[in-house]
Amino acid sequence: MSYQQQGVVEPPVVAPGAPPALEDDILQIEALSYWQSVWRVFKRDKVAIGGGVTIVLLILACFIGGPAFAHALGHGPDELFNDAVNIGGIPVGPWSHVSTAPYPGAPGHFKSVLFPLGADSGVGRDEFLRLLYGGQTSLEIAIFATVISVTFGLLMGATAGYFGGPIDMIISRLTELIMAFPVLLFIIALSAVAGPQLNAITLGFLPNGVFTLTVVLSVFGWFYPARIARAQVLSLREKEFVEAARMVGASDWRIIRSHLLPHLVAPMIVISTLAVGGNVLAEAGLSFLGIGIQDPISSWGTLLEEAPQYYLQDPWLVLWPGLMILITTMSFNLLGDGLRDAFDPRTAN
Amino acid sequence: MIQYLIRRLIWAVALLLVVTMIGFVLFYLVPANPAKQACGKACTPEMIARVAHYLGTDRPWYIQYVRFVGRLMPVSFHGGPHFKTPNLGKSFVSNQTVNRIVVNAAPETASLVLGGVVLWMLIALPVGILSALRPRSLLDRTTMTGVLIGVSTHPLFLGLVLLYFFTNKLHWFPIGGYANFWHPAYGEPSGPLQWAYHLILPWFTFAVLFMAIYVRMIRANVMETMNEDYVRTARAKGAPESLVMRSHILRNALLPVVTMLGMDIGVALGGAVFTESIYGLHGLGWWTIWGLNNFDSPTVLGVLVFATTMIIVFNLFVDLLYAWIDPRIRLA
Amino acid sequence: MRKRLWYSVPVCLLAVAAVAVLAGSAAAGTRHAKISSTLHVTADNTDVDHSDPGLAYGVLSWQIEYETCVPLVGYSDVGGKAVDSAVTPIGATGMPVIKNSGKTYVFTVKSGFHFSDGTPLTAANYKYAIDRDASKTLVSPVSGFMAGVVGWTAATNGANGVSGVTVSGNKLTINLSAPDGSLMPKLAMPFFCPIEKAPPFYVNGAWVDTEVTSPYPAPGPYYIAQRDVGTDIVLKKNPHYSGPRPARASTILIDMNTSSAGAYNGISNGTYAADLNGNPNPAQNYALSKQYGVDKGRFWIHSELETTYLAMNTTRKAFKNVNVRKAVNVALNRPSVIKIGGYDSGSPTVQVLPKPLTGGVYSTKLYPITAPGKARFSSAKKLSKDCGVAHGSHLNFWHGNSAPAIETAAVISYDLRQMGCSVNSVPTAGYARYVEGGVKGTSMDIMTAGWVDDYPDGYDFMHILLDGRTITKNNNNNLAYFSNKTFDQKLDKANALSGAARAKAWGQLDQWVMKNYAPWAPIENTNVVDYLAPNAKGYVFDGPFGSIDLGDFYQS
Repeated sequence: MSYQQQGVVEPPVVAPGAPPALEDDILQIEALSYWQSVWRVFKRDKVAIGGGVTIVLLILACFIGGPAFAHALGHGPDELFNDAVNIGGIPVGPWSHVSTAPYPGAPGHFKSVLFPLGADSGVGRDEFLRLLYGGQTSLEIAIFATVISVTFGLLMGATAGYFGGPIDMIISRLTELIMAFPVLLFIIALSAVAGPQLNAITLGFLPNGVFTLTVVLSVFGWFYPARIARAQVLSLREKEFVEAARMVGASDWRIIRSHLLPHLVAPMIVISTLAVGGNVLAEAGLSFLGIGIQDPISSWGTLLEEAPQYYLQDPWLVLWPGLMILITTMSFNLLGDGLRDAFDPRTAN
Repeated sequence: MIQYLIRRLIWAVALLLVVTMIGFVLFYLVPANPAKQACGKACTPEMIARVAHYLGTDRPWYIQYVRFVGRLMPVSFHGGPHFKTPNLGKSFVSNQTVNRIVVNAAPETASLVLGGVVLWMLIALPVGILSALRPRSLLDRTTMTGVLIGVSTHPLFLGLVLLYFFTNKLHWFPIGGYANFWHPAYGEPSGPLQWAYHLILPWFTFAVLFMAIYVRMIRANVMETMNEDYVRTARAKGAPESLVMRSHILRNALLPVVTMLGMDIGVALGGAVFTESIYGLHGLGWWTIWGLNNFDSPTVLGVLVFATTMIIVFNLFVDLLYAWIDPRIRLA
Repeated sequence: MRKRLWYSVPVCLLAVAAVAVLAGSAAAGTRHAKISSTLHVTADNTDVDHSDPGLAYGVLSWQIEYETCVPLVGYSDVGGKAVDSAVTPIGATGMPVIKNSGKTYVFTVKSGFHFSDGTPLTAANYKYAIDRDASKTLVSPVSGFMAGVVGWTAATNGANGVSGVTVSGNKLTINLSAPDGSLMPKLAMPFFCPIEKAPPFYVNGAWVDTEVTSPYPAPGPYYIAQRDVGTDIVLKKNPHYSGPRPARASTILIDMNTSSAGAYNGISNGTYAADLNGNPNPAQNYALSKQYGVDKGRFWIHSELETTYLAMNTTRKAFKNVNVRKAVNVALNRPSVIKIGGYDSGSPTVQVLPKPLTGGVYSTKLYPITAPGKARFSSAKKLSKDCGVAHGSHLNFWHGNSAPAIETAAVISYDLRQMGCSVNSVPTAGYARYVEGGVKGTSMDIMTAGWVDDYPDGYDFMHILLDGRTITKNNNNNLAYFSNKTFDQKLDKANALSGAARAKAWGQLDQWVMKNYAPWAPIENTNVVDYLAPNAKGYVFDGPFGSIDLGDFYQS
């Protein structure tokens, strides 16, 4: 759930000049030319492309760069270094060499390792690696929650819009219900309550707590895409090409799949892109309040949470995760805006 | 209008019941044992059972729910029907009534949200309209960049950065806390001036996100309205530009903004939790977090029910206002 | 219609304003006018648990209760000095007359004390407090300690008053079902602060339990004049107090739950005299100690009544041998463990009891408290005969799962390995660790644990944590499963004493058990680090309470 979605202007119904085509292959050609025109608009939008490239770089840096740097530096993101904390209990600053001894003066020979951005807190972990590995956590939550909520919202919205009746009633009422919630407070409460039961679910590859946040953000996130999908389908349903398909005896499923869903792809891509940014913000907020991801798992939110206690000695600790969140959210917003303009030439003036 | 009012009222009550139900079931599942907590560390199992009975947590959840709703009702039928103060229950942990928590916390959240709304509207309205009138101008480009940064910046990050520069480095503002608007209290800063002085940074931190969203929305609405047929018609008929602007463009462009404002109050109330936690304001969000950290379900539930009621009442108010502005709504 | 739209925005804003104003004025009703000669302190990120003497159960709330209380027996406090560590009569004329082979205590209540509303303090007020603590409605945490008082359990089940406690004139009689040497320190707890049988405690013929947020009369040097839960507490001088205890400021204002940064800045610029929750910015401890020196003016370090230790399970193969337990005490690197908690977060210790509870029988020489080197590891290795694990079995080392706990465990595991042990390190969340470690027959060999006093007396450590007779199937606090007849006899003997001799006996028992049996490897006593404002004066630390003496403290 992103609290900025509420304010986003609903994209107008996208009707990319689809004629009442009955033959699948004709529709294919038309659709292709539509995507081609979208690409033509999009590739001129340098800012949006910049956003997209930044996203790719961020994902590469976190998912491939993280393990690669860990290997190169010779230590992991969760390893604790007594020597990475100075005598006053303050994490060492950027570009420090740190001994691997369990404590200074321990008998034996121990090698030194490099901390490019210094240590993260009083327990002495590598801030740089935690930033990259934390990015994995934050991006996983944001992307999974977006995929689940948009897919589910699309299905619910399209069903409601096409069939109307009780399903439509339920979805509309649910949406109205959610509007009445202090949503963020409920998300906070729900993650705190569900956390102990769900945090341990990793599905074999997720860090602890990612599942909980994904579920919670999805539970509150599907209403907005559902509302958009419903509005789109409601207006498309009455269009001539749908009428025509119905007249020649196409089944409901076939109409939805071949005639309605293609028109929903564009707005859903836009919504997804914008929602990822919102979910990155939500993860950081929840973890900052001590309710989302918990130490020792790192995420941008947990890094932001532990930084303020060293604000007098090392204000940079606030800056790193803060900037990562800002850059990520901004890139997704730029990409989303660019995609919307490309999909709907009307708004790109 | 009366019929519309009744319809909205019934819906509001139904909403409230559903929300309390969801909240209640949710918090019934909290695995913490309030009786053990209230009893202390030298407590025997018999004593825990006694406390649980006293707190009512030994009853099935639906009995507890019925009791909860009964306390919440503004009327009582016990000993003849009469009005009473709705009772949000009592905290397991701090032993005070949740009503008192809410009475203490609501002014701080209200001050933050109210000031924030005023600030974001004061800035978003002129900026949004001006940049719509001059698309692609320097102002418009600057605005759109600002909007982009605004919607991408986390209020927590913004708050931490503002605190660092404006209080730790420049010492311009207090580092947090709330100054009472009305009465001076035991040597604490208070009064309207101190109140505003303590809230300047929180207001700004809280408003930036919404400011950006509203600038974008107002700009888009105004631009869209300017292309409408009736605007062209009005111009063609020779209406003065200022009149066209005021009664044709702005009126129609800003009508949806009123609705959005009503709906966003709920989002804003929740979003205030970040600002409250950064600036040490003991508002509704802060108490929610407090309740969760202390496993104190009555506080969490009570504050959520109160916040939800406020949102529903506010939405109802906006709906009615909207129906009054635009009579077509009532008939829909 | 056009006008309606333009009106709607201000109408909307006015509605929000109206809600704010209504709510604001309701909250403001309890505020009072400004008063001079105020001591202004804060407690960052925390509040007292309760301001009700029958419920308050924390270091911070107890300091406040002590200031408002004239206990029957307690810790004597004269201006400019820390309170005494031995229990002495305060509201009673002298020590009680003990009859009926230790089962009946008769106190004579001193005359001359008055509540802040002018009412004289009598023996009946002490009985009211006891009756209220035991009443069914209150659910006071003190119930866990008082089941030995005749009629207490009946009262908790609904009987009217505690039948074993009677008043006649200025005499208060307490009857026990069995002798209890720790009754005096228990009675010194603020749960037994005398109260009036009047609102806010007694309403409509019954004891009530709603958190006290209105002022209530108290007989001590101060009374609580205001409480906004979560936000502040205001103490005012009791105009009728005539006893010897200090009360420098006429108003004490405590801001609760301030942000760490707000509290730190407030102390630095003199708004707050100090933070009752310790230095709000521990990351600054080192810089402050260098700038102001330790215990010289603005930066102070004192031990809290809390011991962090390694409990060694004496029923397991590895730690049956006392020499292995002693070797752990020799090899343990206490300073490095403490450093993980932050600079000056604790003081290394090798005794069970925190220093203020030992009656002066305290030493840091029983085992070395410095960081070990090669020589110490090899002597520990020799002493323990390679940890006694000749057949390749592991030590199951249980510890917390937070990052600092894991780093602590890394240091301890390293030390254990250096003395020849094979360590299986098991991270477990705090609560689960105590529950599972408390099951008799557990596979835990050694675990990190901590204990904070319930009341400042050695019995609260020695009996609860090391008395072998209390070992049951579950929920054991004796995590070392230490059971020794001589120890139990010495324990009973010490528990029969009172006053200064009692405290000294605890210290001697402590050194005796650590020297001969070493069931624990004590690590540290947690420190309270106080950072004072430039205008803070009269700073006195009450060791037995673990907090700043508010009566002595003031701002210039």
